[in-house]
Amino acid sequence: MANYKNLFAIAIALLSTLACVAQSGVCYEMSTHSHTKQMDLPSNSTIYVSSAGSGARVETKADLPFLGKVNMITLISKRILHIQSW
Amino acid sequence: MYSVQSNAVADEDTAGISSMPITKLNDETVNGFPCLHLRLGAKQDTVNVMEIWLSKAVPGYKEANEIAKGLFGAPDVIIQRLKKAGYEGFRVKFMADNKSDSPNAVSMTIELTKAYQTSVPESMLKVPAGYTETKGDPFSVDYHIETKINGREK
Repeated sequence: MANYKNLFAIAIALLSTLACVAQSGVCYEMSTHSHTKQMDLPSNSTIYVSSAGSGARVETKADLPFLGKVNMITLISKRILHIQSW
Repeated sequence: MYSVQSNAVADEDTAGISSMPITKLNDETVNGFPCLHLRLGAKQDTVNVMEIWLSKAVPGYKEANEIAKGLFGAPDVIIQRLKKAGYEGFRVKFMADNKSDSPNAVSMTIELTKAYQTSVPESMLKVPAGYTETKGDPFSVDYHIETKINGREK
């Protein structure tokens, strides 16, 4: 059960790394597909990068085993990663 | 509710990525982006297969690779290894496939489908009013169960 947690964390980390682009006003749309023998974990993310390159916002939608549909926003600044979920 | 995590990650290369071999494969176009297609790791390793597609046609790739330095460990280690070998570009596609028999073997593909200019106001980069910080792990099953039982707090 903990496995999907690691998958999702890895995916978010990779996407977040990609989001750290000092390019003004750029939007990146990313798709992620992770799977193990037990489960599939598709997700889609839209990444917005600020015009000043000071931060980024990652909006991720996923349908997780055990949890159902999850919308998550990750806000990124230079040294702190804010993860917000609801 | 939301949680705050530091993105400072140790520089250790626990997977030996900094010395892994890189093989150039045929160039490919992925979702409209002309890409350099590379295999990471030994050719004879048929269990752990890792490939990456890099494109210089995506704006901001140099800044991306520079700013990502020190963040999230392995991805940056990979980028630094590629740079050392003379390969640069935005990661349009990344594929890691563990073909072992382990039930925990993970395969993952991340792909850039679109990139375009847009307006990103500073308000999009701030936590919305009304949300409170929690120390809970947002990826934790217990955390979400507790949230469901107690209602969806902001």
